[in-house]
Amino acid sequence: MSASPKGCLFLDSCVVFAKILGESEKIMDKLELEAKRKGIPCYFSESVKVECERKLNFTETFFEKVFRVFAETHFSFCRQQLGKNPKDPLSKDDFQIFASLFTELRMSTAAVLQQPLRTLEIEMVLAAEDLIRKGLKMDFSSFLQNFIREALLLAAHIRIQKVKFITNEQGFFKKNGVLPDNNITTQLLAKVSRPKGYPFHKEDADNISSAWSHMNNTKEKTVFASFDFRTVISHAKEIYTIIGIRCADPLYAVHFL
Amino acid sequence: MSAPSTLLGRVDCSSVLRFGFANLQPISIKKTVQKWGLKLTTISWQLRSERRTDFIESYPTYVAFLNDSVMKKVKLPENIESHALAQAMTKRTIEQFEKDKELKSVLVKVEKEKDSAKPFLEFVRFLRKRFDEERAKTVQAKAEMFTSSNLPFSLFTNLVMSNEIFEGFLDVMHKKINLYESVWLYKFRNDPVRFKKKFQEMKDSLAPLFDVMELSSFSQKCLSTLIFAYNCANVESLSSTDFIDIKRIDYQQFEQLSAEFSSSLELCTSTILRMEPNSFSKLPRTELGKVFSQALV
Repeated sequence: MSASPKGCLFLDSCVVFAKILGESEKIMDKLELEAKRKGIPCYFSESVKVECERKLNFTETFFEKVFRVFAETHFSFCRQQLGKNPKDPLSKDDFQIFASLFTELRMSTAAVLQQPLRTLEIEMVLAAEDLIRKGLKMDFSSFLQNFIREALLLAAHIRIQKVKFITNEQGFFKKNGVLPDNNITTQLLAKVSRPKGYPFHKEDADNISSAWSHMNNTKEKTVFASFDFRTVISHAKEIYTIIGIRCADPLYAVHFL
Repeated sequence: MSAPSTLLGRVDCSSVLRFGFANLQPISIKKTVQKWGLKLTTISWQLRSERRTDFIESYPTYVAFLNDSVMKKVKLPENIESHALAQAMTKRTIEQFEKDKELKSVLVKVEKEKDSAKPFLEFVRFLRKRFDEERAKTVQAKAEMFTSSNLPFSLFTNLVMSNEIFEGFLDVMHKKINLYESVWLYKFRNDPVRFKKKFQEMKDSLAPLFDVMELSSFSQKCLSTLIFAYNCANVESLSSTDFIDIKRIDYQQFEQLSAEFSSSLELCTSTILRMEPNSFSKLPRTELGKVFSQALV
């Protein structure tokens, strides 16, 4: 791979997902336009690809867990305990069941998925309240199936987009087969400080280390672009001091080249 | 619970398309007409199947062949006899096909109508319209199946993905055939050599798509057969199972067939996107989008 005189960008998994999900559209459009206009190559590394696949599977497992907790015996069981027929339409008494099931789920869900779980909880409760307020009769199974249907459509869409942007490389970023340098990964993990609320994981170290390997192999100026403030951007200065690679928000990334 | 469409119910549309399309050949029909005292020769085109028998007559043989192939691939439980199951599946598909007057009448048109690829284009439009009408029902059926089973969420994502892929497949077909029809086939309608060449070119350009779609449809059929065969007492009760229990299924086969199905879907998606990069660009509008982005980004 020949080096670009302008340098290049290595994208974090969150930037790749932003494109797949159509998130941060303004910034992503600007990044794409600037990369094209200035001829700046944008890459994602093998470790980012692996992380994207892992997160996708993880997300589907998360939905499976939430829906299964509700779909299987739990909801019926809780209703029976309250002396109600499991097949009755949703009613205001069911919110106690929602509360207890989501508490149970929260206790067994990883910290990283607490926020999406909370958002899903809010969506389900608001939808149920809306139904009851409008006087619509719907049994719990049909209510739940509305959510499952939406989740399936979205999950299928994301898988298709993953093929487009990651497998087929039909976006403005291409795959770079460079592997992380073990020494650099180890150095980063040992030296990057982790104040409370600002973690730094092996995956982050591997992704940055891959960008470093590329920079070292090709002598091309390389910037690692990430939306993740807590795990990457907050550590940018330290990372630069340790291994000499810039980490920047995609909003500014091209200005660091 | 009713079995999925590709197992016992509706006619497998991608196979119908493949079956009909791959064997079509343009045949020129020369007619001499008297006009203003002159003898004029006109050429018209008819699309005919390479097979001696017509499509509607030979479809049952094709379905039986497909089902026999599924039986060769899937190792069934002892209580299910493969030949009996293949026969039952074929019988039900043919029954559905016979009952489906709308589909049959469109197919009759494809066989009878003259000139160009227009009837086939009509057929693709018909399937697209049917797809739109049944899309919501199909996804709903998957959601119901999820709550009436303990099968993994990823399997249902694959089934919905397969549905979305079929939509993309029809759109690519329509676009390609329409382009050839309106530009090349019309232009060369009086030039038999070039007409045949362009027609073959059109078929060749779509062949890789048919190949991957057929593979995916076959994988899905194998997986559905496995799931339902291990969850019923006998062939007769195959289409009505209250709860699908993954613990009853031969897990090794389930994993292998699921992986094959999953990779066949990736291949289909990849092929469609290479042919038409703007396919699948509409993100489904749902409140759950925020949950996904929080979990992924």
